[in-house]
Amino acid sequence: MIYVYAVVDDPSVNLDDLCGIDGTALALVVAGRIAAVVSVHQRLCWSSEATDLWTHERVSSGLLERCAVAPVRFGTVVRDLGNVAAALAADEQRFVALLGQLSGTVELAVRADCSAPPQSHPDHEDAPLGAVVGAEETGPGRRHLRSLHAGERERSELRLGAALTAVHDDLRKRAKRSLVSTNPAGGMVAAYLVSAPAVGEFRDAVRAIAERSPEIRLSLTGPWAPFSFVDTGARASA
Amino acid sequence: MSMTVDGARDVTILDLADRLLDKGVVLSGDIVLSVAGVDLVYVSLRALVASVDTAMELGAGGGIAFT
Repeated sequence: MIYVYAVVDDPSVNLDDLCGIDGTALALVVAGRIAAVVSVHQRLCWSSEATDLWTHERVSSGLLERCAVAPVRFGTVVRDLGNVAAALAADEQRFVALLGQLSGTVELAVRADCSAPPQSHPDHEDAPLGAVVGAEETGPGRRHLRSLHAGERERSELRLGAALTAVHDDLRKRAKRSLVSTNPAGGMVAAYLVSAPAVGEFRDAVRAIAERSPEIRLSLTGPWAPFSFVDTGARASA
Repeated sequence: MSMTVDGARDVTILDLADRLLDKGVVLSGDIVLSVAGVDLVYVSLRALVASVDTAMELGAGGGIAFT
């Protein structure tokens, strides 16, 4: 059985100081310009602890320092090495494009919630989509298309409330990409794709928000491998 | 992240689970024997609830919590 950790853009990446689940050595399955990082097992017995999750995370984040990484979802076990190679080859172009976008980046996770009830924003509350997007005069068709495009973002932000929307607005301009959603309590759950050299600056920005907005509880974790940003249809099958 | 603050460990594990169990590249098709199946998720979530200290002992580092 082949356990798969990530797809990388360096078919000769050094894996020496990394090890996989159950302490197994890592190996590369190469397909043209890309490779999968895997470990080979006769049998897999998942740990009853979080050990295996952390092992998978350590492999993916350890690779970040060496190459572009598209982390694979935890628990992916494939029949044999040939299947892995075939899956990569079938989607090589897509993976190359994805890894090009992810090169030099890491993911940072931010959670935020207001210790006080979120302030409603009268301009946004119950406002029809499209009215929020922009004030310029445009035709009804263009307004409709814009509202569809911005609709999901706007709906998330409406649920966030003004204070947390402002937090997200502050942080997303420091990232190449961002994803935001709300938890059932109305708090913010966000992921930011940040260039590696900008991590310190991003962390300072989060700290500054916390200092000037004591009513907001913030947490920042990472850097993670960019699990949240491999959404360009990079599914491999064979 | 270099600093660990009380409360940040739970958040780190929450973010870990959110990423590894629900995101990332998905390999699909007959080649896949398992991918975060129900049993696996159950084991992992149970492990998360019980294993904060274990996870930190592994040196996985912490996040930063601003409260």
